Amino acid sequence: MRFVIRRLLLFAAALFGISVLVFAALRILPGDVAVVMAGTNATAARVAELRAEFGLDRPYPVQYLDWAAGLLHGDLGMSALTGRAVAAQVGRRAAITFPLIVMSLVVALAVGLPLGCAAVITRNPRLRGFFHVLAIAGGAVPALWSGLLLLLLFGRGVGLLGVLPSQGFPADGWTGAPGRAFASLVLPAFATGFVAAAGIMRYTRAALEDIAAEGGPVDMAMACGMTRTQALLRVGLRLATPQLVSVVGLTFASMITGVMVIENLFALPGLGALLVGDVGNRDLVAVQSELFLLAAFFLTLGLIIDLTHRALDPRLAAGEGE
Amino acid sequence: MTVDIADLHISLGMQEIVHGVDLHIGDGERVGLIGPSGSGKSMIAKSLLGLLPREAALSGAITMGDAAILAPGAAGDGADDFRGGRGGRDGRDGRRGGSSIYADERTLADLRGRYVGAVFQNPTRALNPVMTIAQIIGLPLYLHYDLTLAERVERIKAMLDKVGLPQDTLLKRPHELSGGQRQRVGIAAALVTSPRLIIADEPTTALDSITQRQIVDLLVSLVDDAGASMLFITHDFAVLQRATTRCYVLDAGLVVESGATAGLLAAPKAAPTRELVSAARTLTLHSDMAGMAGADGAEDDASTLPPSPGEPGEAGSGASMRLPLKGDPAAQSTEETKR
Amino acid sequence: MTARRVISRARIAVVARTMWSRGTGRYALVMLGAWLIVALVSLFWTPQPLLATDGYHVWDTPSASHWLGTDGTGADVLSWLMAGSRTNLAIAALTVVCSGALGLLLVGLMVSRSHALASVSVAVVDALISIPTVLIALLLAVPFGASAAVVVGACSIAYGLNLARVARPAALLAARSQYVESARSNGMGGFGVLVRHIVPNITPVLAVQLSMSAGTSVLAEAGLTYLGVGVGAGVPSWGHSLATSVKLINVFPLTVLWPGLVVTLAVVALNLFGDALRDAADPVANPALRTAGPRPTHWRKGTSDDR
Repeated sequence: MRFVIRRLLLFAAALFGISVLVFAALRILPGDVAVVMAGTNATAARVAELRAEFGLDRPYPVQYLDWAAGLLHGDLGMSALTGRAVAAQVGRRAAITFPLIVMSLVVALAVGLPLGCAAVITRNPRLRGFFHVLAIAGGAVPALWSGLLLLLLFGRGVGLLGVLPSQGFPADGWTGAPGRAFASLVLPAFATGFVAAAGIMRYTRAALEDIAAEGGPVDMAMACGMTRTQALLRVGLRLATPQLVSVVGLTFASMITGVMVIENLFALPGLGALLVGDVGNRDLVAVQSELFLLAAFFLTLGLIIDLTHRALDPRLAAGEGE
Repeated sequence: MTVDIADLHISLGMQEIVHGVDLHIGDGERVGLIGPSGSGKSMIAKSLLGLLPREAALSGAITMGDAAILAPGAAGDGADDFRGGRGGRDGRDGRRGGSSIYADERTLADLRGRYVGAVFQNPTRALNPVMTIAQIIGLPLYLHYDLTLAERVERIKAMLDKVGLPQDTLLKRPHELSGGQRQRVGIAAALVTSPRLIIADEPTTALDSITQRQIVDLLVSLVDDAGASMLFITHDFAVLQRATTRCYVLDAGLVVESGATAGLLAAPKAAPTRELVSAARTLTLHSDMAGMAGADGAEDDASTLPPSPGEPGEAGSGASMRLPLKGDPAAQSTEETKR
Repeated sequence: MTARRVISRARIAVVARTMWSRGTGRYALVMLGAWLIVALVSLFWTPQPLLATDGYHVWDTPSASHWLGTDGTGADVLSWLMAGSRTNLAIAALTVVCSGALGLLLVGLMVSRSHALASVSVAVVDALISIPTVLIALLLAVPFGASAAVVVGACSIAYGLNLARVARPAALLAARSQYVESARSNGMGGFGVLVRHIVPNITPVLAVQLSMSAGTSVLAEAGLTYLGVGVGAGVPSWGHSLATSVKLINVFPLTVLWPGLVVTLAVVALNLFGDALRDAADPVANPALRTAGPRPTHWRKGTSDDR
């Protein structure tokens, strides 16, 4: 219980720290925000106008408190460019990005877990070598390239087997055409999922091999009468779950670059496109809130992963170890 | 159950570790295998169980009771067995080393836990941390016998009594027990199916000296009561003397001497054995004192336990004869206790 | 792993030979060597001048003068790939240096004797580790614009944190050891302990993690450049070539293969390099590094008459 409280305190502190960091990075780093926002050939009057409009003429602490108070109320501010609420924009885009991430993760687990287990189970040295190469090579593929290759194979219009949509997302989204919406995410999900699968495979293999070390519980289960395969799958995999949960969390975070790239390649109007666009447009209010929101999301994810990890391991749950 | 090992060679990768060992265990006999670290004694134990690492290759012959675990096959015909047949699944393939054919994984798994029980060196590592003690002890029963839950629980409870653990350990998990209690659980799991052979691979190395004696005495009495045979592996002469009647001395993958344990210790013939025994004698004084110092730490373990069967009354006096042999096994074992 | 390593010329030769004798190590050495050579050569020569745009041959298929074809401005794809190897080499090297420095600094803080300092730095690393590289890059890109510095900065922060987290257990073991205690009692300062005692103990972890961070920096460069926050427009890099090749997909799909293949082969080489280096430099795994065995010779054979 003490661990949970400590972890929650750390989480709150990290949220605060990140908000300060994001805020500071966008203010204190070189360049006047208003000048940057106004563009290169703006008049001084326009800059002053912008400065007043967004309250940038106030002292930094006041600006920060204003922004933070807004965040606490769920008010993410207005986009300087579109004039629309940032929260609404983020919500609409997240409806594409999050299903995509989850689908990618499903693909990664469905491919990576069995391959990782197989790499430990097999006794054939040549097959082991093949799995080793597969894991290393798979993890070295840029997401953009795997997306391109999938497009070349399956993309409608360009691919050899043009069966799946390769561009865009139905305008009416999940409510209007759920089938088409899903189909348009299939290729992107595989593009990022395959790359992430290599990582999952590597971690699964490492975790299982660690647990199957000599004189450990896997040997003991074998001594009780299991075959090696049984012992690895029934005892080893269960004991590896806490580590695998952590790995899934890490994969989530490491996949996000790939997801943004893939959204761009497949012309999906997701969070990545929004964020990249806002950074390109120097839409500071929007960038500030969006970056914080995403960072907060990953911090929450880290929190959930840590707590799950602990709950799954009775030694840690009982407060021993640490 | 009798065990016969003839001309056993085991190699790991390119390196041969065991160079042709012959070993015999009679029915109901307690046989020791002693030697310094790295002499290959654990490898021999693992070859009996089929727990060798997957890159190991072995040749020779091993017979346990009626079952030939490792059979010297005519050169060449083993290769077909290895690739084809046996359902083609990886884990089930027999392994071929040299010209001998190793039993396939299924056959070995059927022997393990049913006819052959194993006690591991470090119970803290071996016991599954997410399982309850009842599940751990009951696993061999569950895997080999068609029993109802109630019947299983009854056997597990009887086993807890035999190894001197209180009934409330049933639903505890390994991390809630002391080191000595954990090894009692390990022994209970090895013996719950009344196997005919017990393989104890340094079962006391990870324990402090007083607990060591209790565990050895417990193991010996249970094995004798069951009429099973035992192969007891150790690098500690004091433990060897307590646990076995006959022993083999192994050095660098070769058996250098064998015979009745008492006689062998009194008059060692082979040079390595002489060296080992004399080193043990000169060190006895020091380790006795070390044993006294260590006794405090072991007190709580002993006091929380009801006296186990076969527990001699004089616990604490002349506590340790644990004698480091080669390299620095003493440092190694304390390191393991800490873990 | 607890013994300190003596790095001598002989040791380096043994390690290099061992790496060369294994397939994965040889692949890594060959690929990294080729990368280095191509980067050097591109300083003086590329098949076509980088800025020579051939207006009559845009989106061209491979030919004798353009081995891998041309892009939308008629620039030679191969020449840009070769020139790009320079940029990526620089980014990878800078990432290794910066993430190594940041990682070691954090490791030093995490195992420092001041309890407050140690627990705060552990907490900070634990919290920040879950922030993806791309978010750090986007944050840096706002003030700095698209540049290689953004890639290096983002990768260095992300992998420095990662390195610190992975290396901490081994470093902690070393920091709590008796030889560090005795070194401290002899008056060695915190920095001295870090360099003399802790770094040698985490060298295997460092080798693997730093070469992986170099590999990941190549991947990150590709992704970030495509997103428009990596190296600036007009600067040759593999990410630039890959991003350009996307537009070729409808014209000559096979050209799409080359930049991605180059990136993949280079990243594989970097990942294998770390593994091979660790294995070759580990006295336990590499018998060539061991001197005479600890066992007196009369213990071996020749005693079989006693059997």
